[in-house]
Amino acid sequence: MAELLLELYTEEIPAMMQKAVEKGFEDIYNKALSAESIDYTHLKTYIGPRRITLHIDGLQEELEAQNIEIKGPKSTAPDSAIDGFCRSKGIGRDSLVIKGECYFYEKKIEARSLKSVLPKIIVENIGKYVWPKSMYWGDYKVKWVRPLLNILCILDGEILALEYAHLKANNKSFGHRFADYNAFEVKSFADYKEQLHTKHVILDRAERLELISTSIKKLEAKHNIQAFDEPKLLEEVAGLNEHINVLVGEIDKRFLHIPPEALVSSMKTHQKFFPCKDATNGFAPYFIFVSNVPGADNNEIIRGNEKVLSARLADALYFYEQDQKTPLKDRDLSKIVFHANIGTMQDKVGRLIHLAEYFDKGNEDLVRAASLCKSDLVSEMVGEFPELQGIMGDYYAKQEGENKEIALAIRDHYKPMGTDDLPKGLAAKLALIDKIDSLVGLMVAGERATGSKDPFALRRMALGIIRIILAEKLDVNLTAIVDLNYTSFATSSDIKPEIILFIEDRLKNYYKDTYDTQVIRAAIDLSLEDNILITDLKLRFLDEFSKSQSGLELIEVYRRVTNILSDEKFDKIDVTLFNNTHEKNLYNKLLGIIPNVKASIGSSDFSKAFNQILDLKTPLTSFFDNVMVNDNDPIIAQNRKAMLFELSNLFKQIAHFEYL
Amino acid sequence: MSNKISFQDIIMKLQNFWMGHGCAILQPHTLEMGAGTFHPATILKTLSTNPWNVAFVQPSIRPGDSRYGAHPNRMQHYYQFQVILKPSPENIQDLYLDSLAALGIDKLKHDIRFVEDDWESPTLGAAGLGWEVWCNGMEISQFTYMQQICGVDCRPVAGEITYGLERIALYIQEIDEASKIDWNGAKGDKALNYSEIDFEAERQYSRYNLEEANTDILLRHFDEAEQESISLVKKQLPFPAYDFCIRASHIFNLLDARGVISTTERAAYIARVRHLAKISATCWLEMQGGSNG
Repeated sequence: MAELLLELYTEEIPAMMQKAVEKGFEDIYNKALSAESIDYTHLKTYIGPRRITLHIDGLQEELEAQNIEIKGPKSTAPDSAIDGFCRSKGIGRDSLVIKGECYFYEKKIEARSLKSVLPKIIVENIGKYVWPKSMYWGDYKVKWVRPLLNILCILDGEILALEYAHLKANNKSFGHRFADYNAFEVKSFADYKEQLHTKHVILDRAERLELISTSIKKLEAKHNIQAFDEPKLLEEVAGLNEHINVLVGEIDKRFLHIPPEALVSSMKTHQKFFPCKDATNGFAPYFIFVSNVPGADNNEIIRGNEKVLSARLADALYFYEQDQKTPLKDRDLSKIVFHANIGTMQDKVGRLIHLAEYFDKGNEDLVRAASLCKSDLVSEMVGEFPELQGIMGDYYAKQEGENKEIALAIRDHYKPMGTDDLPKGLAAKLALIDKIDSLVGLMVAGERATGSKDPFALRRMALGIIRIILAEKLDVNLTAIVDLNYTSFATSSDIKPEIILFIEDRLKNYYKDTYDTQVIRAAIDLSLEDNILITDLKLRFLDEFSKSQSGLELIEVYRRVTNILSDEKFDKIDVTLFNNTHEKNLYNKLLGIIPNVKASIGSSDFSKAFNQILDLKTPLTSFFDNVMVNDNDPIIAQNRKAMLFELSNLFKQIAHFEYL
Repeated sequence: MSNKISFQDIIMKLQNFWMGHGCAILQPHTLEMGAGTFHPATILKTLSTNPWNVAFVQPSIRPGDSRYGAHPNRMQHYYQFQVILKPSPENIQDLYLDSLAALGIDKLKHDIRFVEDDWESPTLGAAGLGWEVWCNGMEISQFTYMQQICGVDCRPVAGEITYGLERIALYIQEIDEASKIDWNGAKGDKALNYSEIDFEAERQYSRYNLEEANTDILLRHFDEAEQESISLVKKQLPFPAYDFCIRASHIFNLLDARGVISTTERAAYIARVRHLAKISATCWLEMQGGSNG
């Protein structure tokens, strides 16, 4: 039983790329070893900013001879396939045997020692891990996430001779970059881990994470504070440090009345600090951070970090105070271009007010929110921290005495940004008209989403529109509101249908995991039905309908009817031309149900509408059984078809049944 | 920090350090540019396959950062110290850390960190991977392995180190505002600080950049610089052609700072400058007998 230790020693690996490496390398080497039928008891990858370490234990040292049967193409396969198989195995046709229907290659593997096969397995698989981004350096031919500096590879304490790129494996590793940088020799994994530990490197990411968490807890208790729960930041700092030295710094209290979102932005994104809450859940005048330096004068490091944060917050405070001098309503949006082809943000706000008045008549809050929602874009704070758009508007609106709903609408109208942060109430309405205006405007301006390219996120906008309508149950005539918005833009070509089709396409995409393709195709047609809430009801109904017995029957009826009707035009039905009871019966029944069916459709009760149509089943069956539609007299034939056409129209008002 | 060296001494020490490690010390390029990367010694010289080890100060101009000298550390005119090592040596990070030590920044007392930061310049069609270097949380340098320049893959790869000289001075001199940076370390009436040297110009240029620059003239100059660059490439003069690309880039920055370029136009202007960078670089590569592919 042998132990293998491989260390790939590198310059700093980006923190957020590290976590995935653990499983990635384990998968690659588990697969590689099992492909060679090599047994082992333990395999684990460790990752840190400066090294990737693979430890495999309990490796089988002598690999027995074996025969492996590799299945090839069928014996009847074309020559090219058989030759291809031979080429891929590096053999001639004479090495193939036929068993049953297929060719087989019986590969004989001689007995080998682990030592003789491992180098190849290791080398061939190092490059198999796909980094999100990799690079060249120096004059070397190899690509890696950052320059690879050294390879340690030992099997049971002995150097396992191998070469990867320009590097030759040795038995050396290195301690903490600053505290103990000298190379040291390694005898085993236990020795490696132990030596690294004394040289201030914590090998295991999980251990670093744990250490950060427990250290944070201690500081929390000491200062009676609570660090924000930031799993991503935790992952990042565990990937930035080989040594863990958790420290706490203070924030000058004068900065604490800057909105917390701005404080958090400065601290988390820019400095990788953990913001903290105090005992009363307010923003605490402390931050927690992780230093990589062991045993240094912590005070100097803390002071340095405090200074950097102070400089950032001093900027923020200055901007915040500047901003408060100009109320939102007086901010000039005419300098900010929304899109060169369709004008400025001021123009956009004008259109939003117009849409707000139409969309929710008499809702003064919506109009007010629409008129203010973009004003913070010309604030100093948003200029400095673009991620605070909307949020700063919320603060300034409240300071200026706007009501809470309006302020919240300003904050949330950019939502949804992710998967489950939908805006609600007034914010949802504002978000909806803002997205409609952006989508229509950008398409008018000539922007399109094509293939994988969607630089203006048009698809996300359309999806946002759909999700907001459905979640808030907004009873909107979507085509009418698009129409109205469209008239605000001066444009020569008519792309309104294209816009509607684009939204329709997103709508189909939205439902694709919930319903069958045929049901979606049958039910979704925005030019037919412009209210997405009704389309949603239709989908639910059609989904059940198309699976039910009576549904299947009606679909059959519809098919029979439409098979007879080609694309001809039909005159009005002439009752006097009916000459038998079957067709008269059907006609009377049809006349009787039309108003009821229409009423049911009007109230979106599709299942009622279909039960009403279902009443036609008996007269229709006797009609088809007894009446020849294509009468010799073309006038009579036309008249019968006209009646069937009337019937098919009832279906068409609901959905495209031809797709079911 | 006990040893508060002056601004000019920081530059001297860096020059001496890199000179001692085989770098030729060059002088700034004579045109306005947003960063040292634009210097032909970075852009054109790193494209060829020859070794190239140089260091230089480059005054850098970003009209959009004009703050009339009122901002603690943001100016439209500032100084970068650039080091180019091609091919990037194995010990490049260690050399960099030693250069910090030469400035009196002790790596055992300060938390120095290499934090992922990939660099990209859309105007130059250039990109690289690397880090920003932090010293106790403050970004003091940018460290990049150049992967592509003017749309051409770089082989061998150059390592580019850019020191933010003001940031480093603020740190070393333990002050909060760039205006107070001790420039020459002298006492009494010979003492000069950063604002005495640069801030009158800073105020005047801020007004020029943000308020007074004649945008009609600039728009015309942009077109002219573009034409000239294209025409010079045809005449096999890539260095002058590239200089006109630098000019076009600066004029674009000015127009941008004046707020006359819309979001969509922006992309088009950037593409035009990038095109100039690309044809100059390609011309230069061809003259040297073949492209890097």
